[in-house]
Amino acid sequence: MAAILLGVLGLVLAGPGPLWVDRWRFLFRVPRAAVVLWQAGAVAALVSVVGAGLVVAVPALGRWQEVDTLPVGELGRYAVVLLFTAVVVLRLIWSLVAVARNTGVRRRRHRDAVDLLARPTGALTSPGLRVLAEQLPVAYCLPALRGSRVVLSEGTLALLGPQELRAVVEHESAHVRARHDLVLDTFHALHRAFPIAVRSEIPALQCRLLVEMLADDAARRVTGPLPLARALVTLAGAPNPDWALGVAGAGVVDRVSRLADEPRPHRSLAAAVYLLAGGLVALPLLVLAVPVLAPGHAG
Amino acid sequence: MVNTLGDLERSAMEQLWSAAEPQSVREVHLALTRDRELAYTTVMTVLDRLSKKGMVRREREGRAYLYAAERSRDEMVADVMHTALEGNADDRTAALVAFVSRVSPAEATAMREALAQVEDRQNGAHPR
Repeated sequence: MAAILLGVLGLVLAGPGPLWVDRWRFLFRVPRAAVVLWQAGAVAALVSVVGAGLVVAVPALGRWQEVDTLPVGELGRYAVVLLFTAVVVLRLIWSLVAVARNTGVRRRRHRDAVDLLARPTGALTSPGLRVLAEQLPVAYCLPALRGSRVVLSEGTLALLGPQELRAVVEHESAHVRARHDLVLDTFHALHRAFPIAVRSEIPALQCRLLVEMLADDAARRVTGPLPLARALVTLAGAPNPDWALGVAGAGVVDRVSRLADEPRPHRSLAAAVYLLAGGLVALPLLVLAVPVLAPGHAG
Repeated sequence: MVNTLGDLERSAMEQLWSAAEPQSVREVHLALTRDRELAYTTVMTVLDRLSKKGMVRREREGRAYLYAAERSRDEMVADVMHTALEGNADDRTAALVAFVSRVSPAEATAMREALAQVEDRQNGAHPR
């Protein structure tokens, strides 16, 4: 019974759950809590699946001697559940390692190239700031444990006013300080741990947008909303070379329109979202704990 | 001029990019000491670091090593800009975190409308 409950819970959390939460636009008001909620959802899905596997496997191992006498259907069910669990766990480990290594290598290569091509700038003083001598406007950061970079181009400097530039640099510095890339990487790895059929892109995409909103909030605290909104609109609307077309700019409109709202703490909403996140993680743990705490009722 | 390792790597790279042929350590040293004092061994270290980073190719010529840029400056710029503008969209392990990605014309209109709202709110023209 517990195995079925956990299995269903895992599938709901991996598939239809995100579709539903995706529509909760009020989460944009509490981006930090929202990131935690998405992470909790992913962790809960993982605990459910692994838990379901354990619930099936532990008694099955105890009855290893009578394996010949078990009906074929039951054996098959054990095998499928165990296989699924093993796949999820192994894929998680593998994808955590792969994502970390892949990102690290590519980021280091990119940083080395930027360091050789760009000049350390005097106009804007910020450690790790580099300006590429290119007319196409770009603005991004390369987060790292040591030697993070915030990269702009001459085109960006030409397009934006001083306050707008400050907003951009503050936004990127917030990413670097809070290591938002780690949130996204871990999330991405966790997401990849689920087989393609039952996983959803939504949590990873939502978290991307939410960390942008967190960095926007940091920039807004320094420059106010208007320079940030103008910088967003100017850079998002900048012409793009052909090969970069078709890149999803999803969420820019949401990011700009939430800057029109008064920045308020939304304490009770945040508390409710945190509570929900805690509940999500607790749910599969409770299902697992019930047979242990009340062994008499376990099947 | 400050001789940090980063500056020296940049200067050495400029020298290799502008040279028509692979350069010996002595040639790079000569070019770099035109406007500063620099030990020969420092230039060796700098070229060694660049080759470890994969920026520079090292080939043996008799008893000396010759150094050449792995990629031209333009190739490197194109590569950096390509990554910067997320040309590689299907690659989800993002090497970098962009400030904002480019939008479609329809989104651009919606975005400008949203900006107008922020401006109104800031100017107090929009009654709450």
